[in-house]
Amino acid sequence: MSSHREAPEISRDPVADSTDLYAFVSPHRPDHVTIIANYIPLQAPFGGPNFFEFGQDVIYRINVDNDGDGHADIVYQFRFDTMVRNPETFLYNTGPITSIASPNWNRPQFYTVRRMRFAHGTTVEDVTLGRHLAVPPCNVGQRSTPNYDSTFTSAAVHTLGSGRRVFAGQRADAFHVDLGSIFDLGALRPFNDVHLIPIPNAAGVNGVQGFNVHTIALEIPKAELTKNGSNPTHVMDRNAVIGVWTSAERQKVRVYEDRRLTEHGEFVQVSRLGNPLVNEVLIAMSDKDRWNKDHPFEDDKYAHYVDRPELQKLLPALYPGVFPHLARYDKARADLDAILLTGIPGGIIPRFQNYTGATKADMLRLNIAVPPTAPSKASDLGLLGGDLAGFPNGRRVLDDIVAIELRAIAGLTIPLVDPSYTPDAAAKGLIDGTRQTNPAPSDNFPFLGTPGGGYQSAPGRAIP
Amino acid sequence: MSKPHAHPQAGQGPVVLDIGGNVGALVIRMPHHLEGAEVEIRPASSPGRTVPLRHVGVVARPVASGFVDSAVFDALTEGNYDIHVRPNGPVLLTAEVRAGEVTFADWPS
Repeated sequence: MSSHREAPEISRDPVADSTDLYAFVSPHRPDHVTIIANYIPLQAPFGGPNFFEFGQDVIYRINVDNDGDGHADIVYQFRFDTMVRNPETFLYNTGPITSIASPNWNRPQFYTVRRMRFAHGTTVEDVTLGRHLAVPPCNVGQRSTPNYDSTFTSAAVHTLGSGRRVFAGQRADAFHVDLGSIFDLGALRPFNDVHLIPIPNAAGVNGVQGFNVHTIALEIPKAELTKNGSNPTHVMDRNAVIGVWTSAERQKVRVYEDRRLTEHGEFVQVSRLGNPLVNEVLIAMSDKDRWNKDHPFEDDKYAHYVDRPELQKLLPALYPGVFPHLARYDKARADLDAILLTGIPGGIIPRFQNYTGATKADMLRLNIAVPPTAPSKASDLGLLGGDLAGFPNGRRVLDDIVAIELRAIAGLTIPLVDPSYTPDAAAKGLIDGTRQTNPAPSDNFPFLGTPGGGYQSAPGRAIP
Repeated sequence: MSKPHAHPQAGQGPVVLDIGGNVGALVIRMPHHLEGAEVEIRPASSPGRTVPLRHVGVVARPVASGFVDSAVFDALTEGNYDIHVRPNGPVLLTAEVRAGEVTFADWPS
């Protein structure tokens, strides 16, 4: 998860903690866009009670800006409700759960999907797209939830009319990062020997190996997302670019009384996520909680974190002599500003733009006119690898955003805006040395792999 | 782990059971005065301490009408089991665990 427990307050509220956001043109349905928002980080599949649910008291949102002002023009809202079949038992299941409708599952969850459209600050449409949609159970184990993938995955994919599809439930985390090393003085194991505190080089260790997440996946016709209702085919068409972020809301007041929690008051935002790693890596500790509560149109106040990232100053200090050009570069990072806050205008990268305008806003910007890249030609380095369908043009499951963002911060993208700059040689090869080692992502909706099962998984290794 | 409660969130929400095949579970409703006590189980055919014994804590678990003091034994191979309160309480309950099912029992008053 590229954004898990990234701020003090949300670290105490996993149910409302967004971990990853993906947005890409659907590979097998290229007139559609898939948006995936993951929540509830670091779910270990093993060890009882291995039990995770979406929050009934949380409003989950997928937000779309299609006019570049950093305000949501379309919101897909998800509300979950738990049906307790027998309220006088505390059991999640009373026998094997052999179907999504099994009576042995005492606490099935269901959800409603609403679409709201906004214009000039008012709601112009509020439509329920689906209700009482079933969430699959957690992958408890091969006895309790046997044949998990074939039993539950497709059963939990629901159609919402007009070609839309939706899924909400547990999946394998598709992110990979060497958490242990990066948070140990910014170390990257493949480059240990040139670190300030040198030790032998080593392969990266995927710190999120073995964990599951809860996924909300939505596939929408392109024409539903654009400002003018078109299905754009020209990459340079401004209507082709949408900004996407996910957010979660809770009621303002929580009261703990008689060993139960109740919520009261209006809903307020408690977390949000657009581009990966922004709040986790770029925003200072003192602002992380505030960032989570703010909205993209307010991000101008955080632009200085992007323009002069602390990690840029740390890299030359942590790797003496490795980043001499970066160490001397003292201009504001207009390249990172473009990548993360405005989109890349036309004329910078041939045949590409994902520019939403001058408003600085942290949103995943997807140019929906760029067709999906065939798997055999896809680069996990996205735009840096010459693959126009990859991050920062939206984000696909396969994109190695740690490597991409490390290289960008290390200066590899400066020449896009400052041709006089020559990146350090090391910037071109920065990686944390990890690979995706959880159950493999799928080629089919909802695109994330089968979650690790509680019985069959062992610490550090999820097996579906 | 050696703590009385096997899971740090015991009592805070629903309990997931890994049952199926020849494995079932046992849920014992316990009297309130035993909340916090530890309950131990052994196969009824092995009265001596020659087999590994399992124990769980008695925890107040939420249900719609309030809380139920209970001991939950998950993933038990089908068969008959003797249960006693640790450390040396007498066997006061023998329960039959059936494959793929949850056996509910009440601790004798």
